[in-house]
Amino acid sequence: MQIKFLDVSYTYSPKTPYEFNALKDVNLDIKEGSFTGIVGKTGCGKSTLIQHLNGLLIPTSGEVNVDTYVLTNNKKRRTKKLKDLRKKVGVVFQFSENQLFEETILKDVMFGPLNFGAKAEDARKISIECLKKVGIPESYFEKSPFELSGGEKRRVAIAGILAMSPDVLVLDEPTAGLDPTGTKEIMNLFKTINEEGKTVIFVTHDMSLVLEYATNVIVMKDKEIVKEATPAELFIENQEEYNLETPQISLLAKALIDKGLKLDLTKVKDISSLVDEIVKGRAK
Amino acid sequence: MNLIEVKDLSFYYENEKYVLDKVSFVIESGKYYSIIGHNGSGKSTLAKLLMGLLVKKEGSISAFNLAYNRQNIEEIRSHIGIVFQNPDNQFIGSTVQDDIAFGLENRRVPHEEMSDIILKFTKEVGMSDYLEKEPEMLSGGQKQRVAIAGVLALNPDVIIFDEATSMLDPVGRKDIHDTIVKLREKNPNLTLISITHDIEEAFQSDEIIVLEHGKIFAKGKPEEILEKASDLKRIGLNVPFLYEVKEELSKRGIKVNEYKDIQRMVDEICK
Repeated sequence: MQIKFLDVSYTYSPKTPYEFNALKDVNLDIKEGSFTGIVGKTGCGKSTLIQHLNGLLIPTSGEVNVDTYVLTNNKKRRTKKLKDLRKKVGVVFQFSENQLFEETILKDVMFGPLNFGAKAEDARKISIECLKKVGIPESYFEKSPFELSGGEKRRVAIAGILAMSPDVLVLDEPTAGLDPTGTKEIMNLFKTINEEGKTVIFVTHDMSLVLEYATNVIVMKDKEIVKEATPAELFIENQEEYNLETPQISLLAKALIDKGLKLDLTKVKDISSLVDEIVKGRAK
Repeated sequence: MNLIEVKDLSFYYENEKYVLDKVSFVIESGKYYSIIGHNGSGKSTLAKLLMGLLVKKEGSISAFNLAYNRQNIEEIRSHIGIVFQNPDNQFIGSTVQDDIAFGLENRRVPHEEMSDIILKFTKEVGMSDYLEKEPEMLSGGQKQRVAIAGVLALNPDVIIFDEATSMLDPVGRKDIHDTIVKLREKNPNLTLISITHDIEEAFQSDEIIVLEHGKIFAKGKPEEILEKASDLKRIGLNVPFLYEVKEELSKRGIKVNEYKDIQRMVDEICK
């Protein structure tokens, strides 16, 4: 599914004393099958941007195209029924552990598919499959979601979105508050989903995750997009002007290059690929 | 000198499962300690016991040669400063200086001495230009630095950081790191205990205590803890980034000794 933003601006509560402009002339092209990271300081417009992806927000001006859906203020042009769009673009919000509500974990995950008209039996089947995928053991299925730890709740919320089999998965800070093991597991899950052909879009503050997982990165600053690049390009460049943290891997790689070692920075994604490059560099 | 002594300390909540199980260690004066372990390891409970917010079930705990009990607890607490996790929950005053003055007033410090004290300690944490600022105008890292200044103003012997950086963004976290480093240079007798998730931060301290399932899994200097790096990973804890690089290099036949300083490590790799 192709996603395009054309001159999109968004203003909250227009023409009131609370008027607040949160997006300014955003142009954007997210390619099908990409693993796209969205980064930028708190308050730069990241969350507003992603709420346009499934029509929760409609641009104040400009146009968002998702596949054949048109989201615009122009009533003649805009797609009337957005329910199908919300099935195709699944959004996992920040602190998604707070959005669980059902009596049991399995029922919670089944809610989505049932809501979109799936038969109870099919909804059950796919929900079980998705819960297993996110690493929730079968013995938990009949438990109340409120008995789970924060990290487990997060996984159940993600399973709830996956159960609707979206083509595009959007995640707002999916690893915030998870420990290193939990972070790795959940990011690897998104990687698998991406490799199955789905577009994954995630918002994060953790630049090392962007470097390791993303194929593309969008940098936002003050309501605008200031940079679109591959992670390697972004972190090779001096990105301090965007106020981002440099991943430790990139810092080390750059220091090695400054010292005269020949490394291919585009190949450096994690410790093991960095070491591969060091071995090659030393052999030269 | 032993400042705090913890011996066979055990604790359980209502459901009688041991959250801390016969934990023993000593805190020496003037050293910087980190207590690490993942969620549920018992480190928050241990922190609350050290602060006197919970009462032990078994074993003993004493500070400044005073046992933790009803008679001594006020005296003990007057020597301990605490910086909590959430920057917004510990900012009480309407401005930076009011916030620090609140603690001083509680200790009945005369008004005429206050402004000098406030200036001195806000300087120490680099916040002296913000005295009139309201909390809404400060970042999370700045609020935590004000909290540190407020604690320092009460002249404690020990400061406990209870996950004081875990709600901050990377910039705020570095801010607090740098403040702690400066603090140590200026106050060599001050004892610091940091309960933390941040591995890089923990490995800057003098001693590390690793908790797992309510027991002490390991304790010692960072170098000693790193000898058990594979055990740490097994229980789901990370080791510092440069150490991980060093280990990975060694697997591929490249031996380096340095893992504390990035530039020295680079020099060694490029030798």
